[in-house]
Amino acid sequence: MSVEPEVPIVQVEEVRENPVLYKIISSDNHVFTISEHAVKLSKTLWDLITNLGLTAENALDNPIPVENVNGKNMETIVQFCERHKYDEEEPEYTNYIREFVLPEWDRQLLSIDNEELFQLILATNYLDIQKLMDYCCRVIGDMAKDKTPEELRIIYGIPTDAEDDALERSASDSPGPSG
Amino acid sequence: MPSPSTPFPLFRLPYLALNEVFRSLECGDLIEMSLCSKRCKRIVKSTRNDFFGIRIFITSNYFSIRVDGKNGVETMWMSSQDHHDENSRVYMLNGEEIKIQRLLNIFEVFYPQEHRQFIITSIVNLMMDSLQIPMLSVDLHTHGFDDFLDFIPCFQNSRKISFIGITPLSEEDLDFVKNNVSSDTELQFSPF
Repeated sequence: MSVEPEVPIVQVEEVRENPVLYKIISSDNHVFTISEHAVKLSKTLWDLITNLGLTAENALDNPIPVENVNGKNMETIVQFCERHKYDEEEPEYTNYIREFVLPEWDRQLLSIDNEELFQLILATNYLDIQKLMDYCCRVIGDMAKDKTPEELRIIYGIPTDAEDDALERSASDSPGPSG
Repeated sequence: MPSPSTPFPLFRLPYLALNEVFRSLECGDLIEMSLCSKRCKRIVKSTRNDFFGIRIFITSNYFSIRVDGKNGVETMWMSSQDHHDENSRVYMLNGEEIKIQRLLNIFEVFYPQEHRQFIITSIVNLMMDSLQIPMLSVDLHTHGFDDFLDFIPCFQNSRKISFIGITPLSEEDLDFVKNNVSSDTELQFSPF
């Protein structure tokens, strides 16, 4: 695992305080450093680190390639994880996602284009970062506030019943993989 | 907020994310979402929520239908005489157009008086079906409400129906009520 970075290493300011650092390489070969506390927010990455047997001594010499996440999304994810690495456990809510207040810093971070937000959710889903997933979903849900059904169809690209039926018919008419 | 230039591809989300988005919606938004398409309604129905149920208040010329949750009233739909165009919308419920004006989680419903029963029934059925919640109670103010018995079949599955009026129900009316509601429905009669 000795991939040479083709672009400068992205340094996130807050990682410097933590002595244990890991390197992550995005699908487009951007290299990121992330602290141990922060990387633990990603179940996928932390499982990988544990399974690879990375330690404080050898972590920086063994960058972790993440094929499914590009540099742009990885940068957002590293920023998010560093920001929230020392968060206390959330209080117990019956319906947590509807009740928490989305912090302004995170709302700003997630003020991105719809397609970018979608790609970020796919990356978050892959890396299994529950808190970021909650926040992203809340931002998407907030788009629906006070909107009419007609507006919702436009905001979310919701097909009409007729379009759904047509899609279903074309899917059932098309030949399967065997031809 | 994210740029509204292109639609957010909601139905391309992984299942868990899609489910979380729906769980993040307020009660009123869930109901509006259920009216977008059959597919949306199916997802709303399968979304776990923590609403307790529906409470209805009805008089000869007014009604309110509210969804209660642990934080109190989650949404309230009520009849209104005055209509403003601001923030108004038209729902198609059971083939009929219903004009609604929304302010946060308050929905004002405009309707011709002769369609009152149909509209109340349609809204209650929409809420119960979409949110999968029970009808908890109906408060019926009978004073000056000549055709209140016609509404009873709409509320047959309510857990409780309270009749509030100056004069008590006649034996005949009481029999009609008992024959048209579930045997589990608690009936209460209170003087006005």
